[in-house]
Amino acid sequence: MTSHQPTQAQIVADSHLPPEITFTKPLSPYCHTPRAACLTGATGFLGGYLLHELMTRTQADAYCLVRGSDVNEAETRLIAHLSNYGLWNEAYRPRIHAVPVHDLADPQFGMDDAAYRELAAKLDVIYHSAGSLNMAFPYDRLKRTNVTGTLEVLRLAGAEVTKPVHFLSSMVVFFTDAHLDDTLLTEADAPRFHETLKGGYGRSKWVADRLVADAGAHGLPVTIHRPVRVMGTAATGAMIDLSDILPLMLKACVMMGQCPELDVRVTMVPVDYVTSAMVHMAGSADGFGRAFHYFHPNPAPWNDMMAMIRQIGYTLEPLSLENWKRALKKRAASKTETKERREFFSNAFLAVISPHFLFYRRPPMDAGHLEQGLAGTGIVYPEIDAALMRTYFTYWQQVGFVPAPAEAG
Amino acid sequence: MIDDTIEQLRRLVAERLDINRTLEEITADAPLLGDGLGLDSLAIVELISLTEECFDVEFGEDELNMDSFASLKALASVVVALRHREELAIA
Repeated sequence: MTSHQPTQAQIVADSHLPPEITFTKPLSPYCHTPRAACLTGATGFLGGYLLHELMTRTQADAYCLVRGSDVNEAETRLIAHLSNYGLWNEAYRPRIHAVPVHDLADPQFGMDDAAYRELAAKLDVIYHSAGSLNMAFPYDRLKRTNVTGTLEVLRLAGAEVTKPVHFLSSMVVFFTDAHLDDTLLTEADAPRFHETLKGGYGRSKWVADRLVADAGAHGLPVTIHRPVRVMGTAATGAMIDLSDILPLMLKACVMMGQCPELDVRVTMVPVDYVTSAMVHMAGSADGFGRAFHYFHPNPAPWNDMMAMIRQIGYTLEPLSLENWKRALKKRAASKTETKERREFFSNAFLAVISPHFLFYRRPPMDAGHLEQGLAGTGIVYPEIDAALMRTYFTYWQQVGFVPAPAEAG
Repeated sequence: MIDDTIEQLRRLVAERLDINRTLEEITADAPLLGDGLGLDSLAIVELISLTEECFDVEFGEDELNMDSFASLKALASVVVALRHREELAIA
């Protein structure tokens, strides 16, 4: 129904690696124990934690492709970003190199030939976590960042010396009718395109996921990492960007004093679980060519999660989803609410009616490769319980995202 | 019928919403969000309320999804379908 929605054939065509991108150069001998790792998306939520893991789990210097024109400014932004999550350590400074780029989707990231070749020759491995998470945008708007940006990363992987790409994908690539009736969705399954893949985000991630797999089929060592919804750590709950549907909906619920009753389970993984596992798997000898799935083995039923939030002290009157949506829309349009509150309710309303995967019925999923790879490492996920929800809400209260129970509703 | 509805919606957007677009710029196919008509979430909510008021319809669970707000043409077809459903209910 969107005006210039690309056809299924166009989307599938976008997922094939263009013939000019090849991987004929010798593989970096340091690809498992890198001296120089490239990181995209370091100023994003997961990317920041990934940079931290690279600092703590490897000896590598990190070359972070950051939007901007000035090295110092880009470096300052990186340090501020890590500091916001309590991850900055002064000892990292000599190992972190900001590489200012005009745009990840520009040919050679907008770098001149000499600088590009120098960078390409130096790197042993690439972690590609950059991408736009905007759920309201159509495919055409997200294609540049999520698809063309990935193509440029694959081009870099083949330039001068071949270096593996560890790619941050998403489980949404499977959330279509094509896989709904799978008896068990495993990491060996390739996501099949289906027109029921909702929204530009899911479609652009599917194309990028398939591009990386296609590069793998053409000789590039790759790993693909597909998490479900990524949330704050169990230790701090820190999350700066709270535009995801789950935090927005939870905030709307406590501000309205009303919640929908839903027969769904909420699956999510803490960010540090994903990033520590990614860096660990990238360093293991038998990971190449594999995909890894990150989901919670014991997702919380939505209504139980509401009960956990009531335990924190919030009032939540249960409504049907339809009535809750109506109540939310009414708040967003209400002239008795302040502009600030109306803006929030509108954003939450838009997020609820945008394509999202919170209510998606999932086939049974398996993460055997990941479990096998993480056995004995101590990398485990926390339970989704009242304590975890309290950590999240405590952080959200501290940053002013949600009101304290006494001021809510 | 759909063309009349699109015309009414175009005028509604031009006259009642606080956006910097002339009637000529408000085309049936332009995306409502982002580069198209540049509506933000507040404006979308206002457009829903205005549409419900002007056409005497109520958006339900099936209509409240982003496909309905892809463009004025998409919105018009939702309005036409809702009005048709209400006429059936009355008849």
